[in-house]
Amino acid sequence: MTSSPTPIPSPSQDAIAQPTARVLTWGFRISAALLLVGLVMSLIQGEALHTSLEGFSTIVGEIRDGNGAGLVALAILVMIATPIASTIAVVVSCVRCGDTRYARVTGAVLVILFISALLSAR
Amino acid sequence: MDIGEAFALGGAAAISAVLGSMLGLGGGVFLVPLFTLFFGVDPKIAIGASAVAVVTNSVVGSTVHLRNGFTNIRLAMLLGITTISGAIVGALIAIIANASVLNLVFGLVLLYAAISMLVRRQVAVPNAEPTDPDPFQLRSSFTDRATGGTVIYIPQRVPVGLGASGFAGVLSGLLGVGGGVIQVPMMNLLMRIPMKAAAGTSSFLVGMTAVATATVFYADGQIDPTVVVPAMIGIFIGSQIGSNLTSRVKTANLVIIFVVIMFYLAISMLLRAFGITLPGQSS
Repeated sequence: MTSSPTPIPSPSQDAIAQPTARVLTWGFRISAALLLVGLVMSLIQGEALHTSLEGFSTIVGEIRDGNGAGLVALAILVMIATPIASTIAVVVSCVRCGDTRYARVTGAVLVILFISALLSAR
Repeated sequence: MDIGEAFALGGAAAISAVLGSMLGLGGGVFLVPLFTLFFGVDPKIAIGASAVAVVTNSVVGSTVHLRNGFTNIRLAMLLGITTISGAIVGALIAIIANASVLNLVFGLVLLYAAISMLVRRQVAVPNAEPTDPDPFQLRSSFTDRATGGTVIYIPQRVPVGLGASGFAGVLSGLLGVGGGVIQVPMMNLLMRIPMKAAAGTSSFLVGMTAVATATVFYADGQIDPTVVVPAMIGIFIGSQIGSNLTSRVKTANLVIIFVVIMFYLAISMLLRAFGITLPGQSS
């Protein structure tokens, strides 16, 4: 690999990368916080974690009941959803940059990810 | 599962992440064999846990790569179309496949990874010229801190790369690994992408791929929080330690030890596929 002293400016590359990095950072922080609180609550409540990740409505119900295992399950779902959120950020950034070609390509990726998410809807 | 067992799983995940990080393979390649061979975790539960752990690793790693400019997001999205589709297909096959088949395929992938570690081919990519054709608008650049210069490249043979990515996606979905073990060499050797950009782009891409795998396993009830949580935490801690060690230790000197470990795990998985368990392993 060789190096050149004359960089080619690509503002749109950075304009897409920065918002995407922010979404990933916040997704991780939220998931980590939920996981930490959920684990501490489970320890205090003396409850074991579930051996299977429940459906979303069950998880919401558990959180309403103040169940730590519900928060742990939500943390896992937030982590799984974070790359999907980052893909949405890429679509928005591409549209803002006027890069309609890759806005469409990323839109197609999003559709495929939603298909896989639909497979898990229960 | 008691707390001691959870800590042991977390420790195994951390070890797999240290190994994966130092070899540039990601933690998933080691996680499933360690969980199944030494803890008796069902292969499908281990694959589901690995997929979520790979997402965690990708989310953390990609943030750094994106800020360093190593990630070619347009390329990741383009390859994502075939990779993620492949992962969905692979995960659906994994759900119906029996454990022996999964162990067999995993053993073969580990053998391939071990051999590719020994051979360790990579190509130097010359800088792209402003007049070079870029039909897919994938030209990108990043600053290489090691040389202080700017590296400019245009991915080549994109249609072939799309096909190879689809294959990597199927394996990723089938085994719960990120797929970086195939993606990174493919991007470098086939598409002539500099190694740092290949690693950065792959890191982002494997996260989306693992999401597809994780959601299919979630639908089938194969995401077990008692296994996933130690895997997530262990992979996160292990990859931090691994990145730190990589910058301090001459990884080349350790490669032979890692390759021996990979051969051992590969042979163990292949034997397990035929119902043979080596001494010291969980049946």
